[in-house]
Amino acid sequence: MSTTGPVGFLLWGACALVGVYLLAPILMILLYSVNSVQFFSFPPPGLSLRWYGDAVAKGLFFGSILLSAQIAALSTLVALALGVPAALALVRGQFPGRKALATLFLAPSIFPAALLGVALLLFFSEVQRGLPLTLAPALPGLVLGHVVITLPWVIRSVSSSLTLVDRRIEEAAVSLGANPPRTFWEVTLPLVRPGLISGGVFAFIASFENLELSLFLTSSGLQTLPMDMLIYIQNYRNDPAVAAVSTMVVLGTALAIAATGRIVGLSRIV
Amino acid sequence: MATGAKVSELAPRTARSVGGPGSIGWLVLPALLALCALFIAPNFGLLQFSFYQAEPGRLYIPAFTTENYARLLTDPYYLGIFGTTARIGGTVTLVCLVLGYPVAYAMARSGPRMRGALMLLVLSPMFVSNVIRVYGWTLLLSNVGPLNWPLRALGLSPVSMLGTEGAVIVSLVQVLLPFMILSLWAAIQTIPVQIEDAASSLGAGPLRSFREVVLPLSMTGVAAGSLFVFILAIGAYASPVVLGGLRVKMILPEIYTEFMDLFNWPLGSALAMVLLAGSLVVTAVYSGALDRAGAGKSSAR
Repeated sequence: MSTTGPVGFLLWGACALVGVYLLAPILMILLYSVNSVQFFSFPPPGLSLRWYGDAVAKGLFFGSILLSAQIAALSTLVALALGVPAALALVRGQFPGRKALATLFLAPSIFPAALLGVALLLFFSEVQRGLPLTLAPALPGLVLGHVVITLPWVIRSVSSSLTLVDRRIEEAAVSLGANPPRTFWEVTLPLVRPGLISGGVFAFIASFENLELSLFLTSSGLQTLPMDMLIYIQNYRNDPAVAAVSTMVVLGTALAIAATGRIVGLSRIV
Repeated sequence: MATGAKVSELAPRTARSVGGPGSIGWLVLPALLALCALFIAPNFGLLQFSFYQAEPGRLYIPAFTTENYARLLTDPYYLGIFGTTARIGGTVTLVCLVLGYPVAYAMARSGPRMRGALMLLVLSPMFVSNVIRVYGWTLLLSNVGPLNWPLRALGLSPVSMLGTEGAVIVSLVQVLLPFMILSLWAAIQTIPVQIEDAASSLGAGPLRSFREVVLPLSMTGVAAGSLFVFILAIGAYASPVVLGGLRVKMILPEIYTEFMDLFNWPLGSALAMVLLAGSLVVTAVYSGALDRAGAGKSSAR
């Protein structure tokens, strides 16, 4: 095979088709959010931005956006606190089973999140019987659950940043009299900053957009944004205001990724 | 010279103090403990609950029974759900493989700029919530949507696609393609392009070179990608619930019903265990296939 000639033509044609396929549903949401009438039809009869004003005026999903942002921020912070030392040990340490552990840490990203959610519901309901606090359905349980999906992002990014760090810079710091903690804070940590930023941003996004993990850990008074949206579209399928909120969330995510790309370099995030 | 001697004296000690053998391995422990508590232990809890007795009015009675499994494995209702789930999982995996391969190949064989652009395109859906994507598919597939537009324009009646297995498959492929493409790309990019050049200079056409050279050498990616996609597809929730409606029944929506609507935790746990066991069996089969592919690869060299 080659990427030129008739075979190449077919190859790039297939890529273009897959690209359209991947982006089509998101473009459809965008189209519905700027169409002028309430009931969706294609092609839209006209264009209008009024659904954005409508969504903001109604304060649609305002509470659940705040809750999801809170869960994403807290679980990302916990994942950074756990994941940075773990990445350091996985990249720099030499102990038996290091490879298997590295695989284990990434396993939650290829595990059905809903299954993890139901397992956590049982687990929390057993654990909280001996404790004076509610884990599920409540904020602590949601944050702990989301740590499982944010941790792989942090470990992956920080590990790949660490492998690029020149060990001699750290050794120079130590030979100049810095103790290991100081070397870590003043030399290693600044050098892995790109990994920290991209790991943190992607962990936040992964938590913020996740529906399935929260399925079993939320309640009617405590809904994450994806849960709230799912329930809303099951009840009111024809409300362009939902499409407007979705579009704003997608644009916000795209902006965050673009900003991360500018800070750490696009090649580092993909 | 004196400083040189000093540095070489220092070297072994500094290497140890910034993380030589054994000294920083313990830093992995907090994350490992968290993963054991929040990822591994809960799955054993699921196993335990799946053997509890169900009782109306209570979530469960902690007494041992195999009744839940007996019910799941004999009741045609549940057997039908397992069948639908496996069929959808298999179809989604195959479609992802066919659609993902050309993109992964193009990504592996293009320059860094093009590769970066393709990678961003492939990854972009991963950062959009499944709810938003599924909502987009309800618009795309609806009777008044763009796919039915040509039919409507010709005055024909639209084909209703919502509430079908096809709709669930189409949306799941879109959700899971990135996993397939990334796995395939990881395998294809390790195949030196010179091997393909050799095949074509020996007279192999593009199809033969693909079938006899590229595809066999990328089997590890095919196996890994298929495994990820299949496991995530049989664990889908949003697509069957929103696009499959009441007609397409998969395991996870049923688990949700058992837990949150019927409050039958033991049966719900047994259902979850069937899903987990299915995933583990498929993983074992695929790692066997991967090992064989790996062995075949090394013997071919």
